[in-house]
Amino acid sequence: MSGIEFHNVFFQYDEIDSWMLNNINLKINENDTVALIGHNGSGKSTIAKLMNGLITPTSGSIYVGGQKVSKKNIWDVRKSVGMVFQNPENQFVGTTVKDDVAFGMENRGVPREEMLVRIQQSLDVVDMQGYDDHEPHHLSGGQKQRVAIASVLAIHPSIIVLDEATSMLDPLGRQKILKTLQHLKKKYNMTMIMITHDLYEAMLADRIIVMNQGKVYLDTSPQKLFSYRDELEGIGLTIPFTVQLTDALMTYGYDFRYYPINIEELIEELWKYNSIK
Amino acid sequence: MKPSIIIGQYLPGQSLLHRLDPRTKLLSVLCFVIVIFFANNWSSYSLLTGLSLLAVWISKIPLTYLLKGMTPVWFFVVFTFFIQLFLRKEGTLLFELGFVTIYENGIRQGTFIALRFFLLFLIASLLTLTTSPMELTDALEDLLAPLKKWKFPVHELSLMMSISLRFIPTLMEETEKISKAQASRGVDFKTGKLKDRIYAIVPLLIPLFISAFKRAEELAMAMEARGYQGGEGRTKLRKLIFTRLDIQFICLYSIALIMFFYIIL
Amino acid sequence: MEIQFHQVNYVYQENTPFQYHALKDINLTIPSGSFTAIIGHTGSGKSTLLQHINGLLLATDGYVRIGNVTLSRHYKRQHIKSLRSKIGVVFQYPEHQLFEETVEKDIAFGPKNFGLPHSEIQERIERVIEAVGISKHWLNKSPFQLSGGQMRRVAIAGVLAMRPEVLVLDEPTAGLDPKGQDEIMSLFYHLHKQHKLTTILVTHQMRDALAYADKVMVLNQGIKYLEGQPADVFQQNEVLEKVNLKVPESIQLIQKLNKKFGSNLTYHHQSIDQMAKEIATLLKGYHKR
Repeated sequence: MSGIEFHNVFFQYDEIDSWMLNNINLKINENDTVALIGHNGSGKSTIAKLMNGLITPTSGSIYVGGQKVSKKNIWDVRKSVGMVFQNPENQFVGTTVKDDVAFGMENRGVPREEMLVRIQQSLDVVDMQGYDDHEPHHLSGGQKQRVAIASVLAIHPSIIVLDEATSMLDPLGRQKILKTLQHLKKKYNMTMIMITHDLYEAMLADRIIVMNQGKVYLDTSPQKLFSYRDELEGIGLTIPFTVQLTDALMTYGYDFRYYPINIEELIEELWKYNSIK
Repeated sequence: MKPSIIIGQYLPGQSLLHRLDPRTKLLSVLCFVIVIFFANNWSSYSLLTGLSLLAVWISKIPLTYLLKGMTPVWFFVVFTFFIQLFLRKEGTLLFELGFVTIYENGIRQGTFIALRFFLLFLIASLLTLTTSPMELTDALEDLLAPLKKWKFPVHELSLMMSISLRFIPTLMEETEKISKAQASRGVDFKTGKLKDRIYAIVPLLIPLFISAFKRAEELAMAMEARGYQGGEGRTKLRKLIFTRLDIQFICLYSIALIMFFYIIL
Repeated sequence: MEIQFHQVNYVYQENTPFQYHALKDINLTIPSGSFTAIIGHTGSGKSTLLQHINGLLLATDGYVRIGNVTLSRHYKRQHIKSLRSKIGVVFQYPEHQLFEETVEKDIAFGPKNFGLPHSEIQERIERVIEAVGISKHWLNKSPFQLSGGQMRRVAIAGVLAMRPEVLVLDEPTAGLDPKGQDEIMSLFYHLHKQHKLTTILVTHQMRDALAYADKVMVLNQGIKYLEGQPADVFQQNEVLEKVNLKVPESIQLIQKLNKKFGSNLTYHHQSIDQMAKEIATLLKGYHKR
């Protein structure tokens, strides 16, 4: 049981502020990969922090793995919800890679022998083996983020939340992280929640939730997402190149059932289309 | 490049000195610092100088690099020498010109105190050059562990130290970045009147503080998310291991110290 | 102002065990009024190169000419301020440089340091906030009350208020959401066109380099790896892939389409709509054949 439910959740940072979250009802199923998208300030990161009790809702309740999150079980909840934050620099606690991966385990009293094993395992998963003794200032942002993922994996969570984990990375770093996430999704039974403003990244998910002004604006699948093109543009999201081109092609008489999500798919569609005619 | 002090820097390596347990090194340096104040004659100073040079030799760090790295310290060394030289009025009078007088004891004390100063810096530099700051923190935590009985926050202290160490390069980078950004906006950190130069620091300090606070906040949140609740019930990955090398080192060091006390007594 | 790099080498912490050779024999000419994009991965030497343009770093070997000033390791620092007043640098995450109590004071900071009179500064502030899209109501607010994106605009306004002749941009859109990225880039492009600003953009975004630059230089491990017009540089898939760079999607599509259909479409900065039209025409003809 490692789904997440939000029941009538409201949240504001300050009484004079407007609602960051305005009546959120949400059910995320176990082992689903869900992307939460929206522009900055849409409330998507607030949702992430609520999920493991870093902040508490102003009203409403949140269930993680069937259990209502409260002061009493907050440390259990944190054990099952691993979080990766946006800034690679500000979540690296250890002085070396292995110390950082160990940090979460140390907090939970994992015996040293076990730690050594798990450090290797989780560094393997994120493709950072051999970096054990590297210091953070000698790593790139992408490498630091992979270490952050490894340190989350080392505590064997059932849910992993990535809060704009790639937004500060260069394209190469971002690619590597996405590869890692794909690998995780395939190989492990894990609920994965990706918070992002990158629509390409969101395509990795099975389900996409679009946030706007503290509300759930759209709840859809990657295939259907771009049929809401106007809505997405209206809230400041940029439509991927292939989708824009597909739309343009449609005005020239082409007909697509789905939006191709990459160039290869688009060309394949064009090829099929031409051979059918 | 400006000459920078190398004390506090770490130079990774595989020499015998690098491989010693940090506790051994820390205690040895502590001993050295105490012992050097007992040195009182040429032979005892020679012994300590010899020991220091031996340590430099085993560390495989070029002596020239060490000496160059101590450039800012040289001033103090020379200064103390001259202070002693002119102010000590004991022993045989060696030289007199107007009101400048130099006595035998002046030269003697000047050399001793300057040498003491120099050796202290040399050994302290050597410690940090061959021991990573993290090892030092571990050593300190381990050596202070008995104080836990009196509720001394040993764990918190060592965590604080290790996080500071972890963020030093980050903050240095940030300082450089911001000072470059402000220099591009016409701030002059290097020339001008002292008053202007002090004012020039404001546009550097404020952004630095703001970013440091932001980092601290985010780091605290990340630590909490990763289950940090203080020292209780925590296990530790880092472990210090006392090896045969340490025992050998301590034996030789003790012999040297015994010789030293034989000389001064 | 024209900028020239002549055999520029830069070594960090020379003659120490930490020595690092960041730029190797860089030769580069950036014509006055041009838009040059510099591309490369983290650690390729991009930032080091930028810092030579306003004398934050002086070449260890070789020299840089900016207008009629020659910067080399022998340069006397007295004149550097007047050079810097002509070169606006927008650093990565420029909002980190904000420090004044109000937005207005922060924007005025640069011009004030370069000794401009108060009235002139006031006039510039008015112009510049319009250019970057800052509301007048913000001027008396603390910059730290604003959102990240707004803070970035304030920081950019502070650089523009210096009225530089050269604009150096170090990944100016990093960390912004897609809409913010587009807005900031078109802002710079507009300024470049309007005031004929010599613009140098360091970026990871191939599509920005393709869309805005007249010239692209690829840096790899401190060495100039490729140089040319964007449409040409980005045709060289294999050469770029060797250094882990990707061709922008629009060019990728045309290449892959040509391969699949044996066609010969070209990239000529056409709009997406135009591209769709060309593809549609092509495929119609293809079908008839």
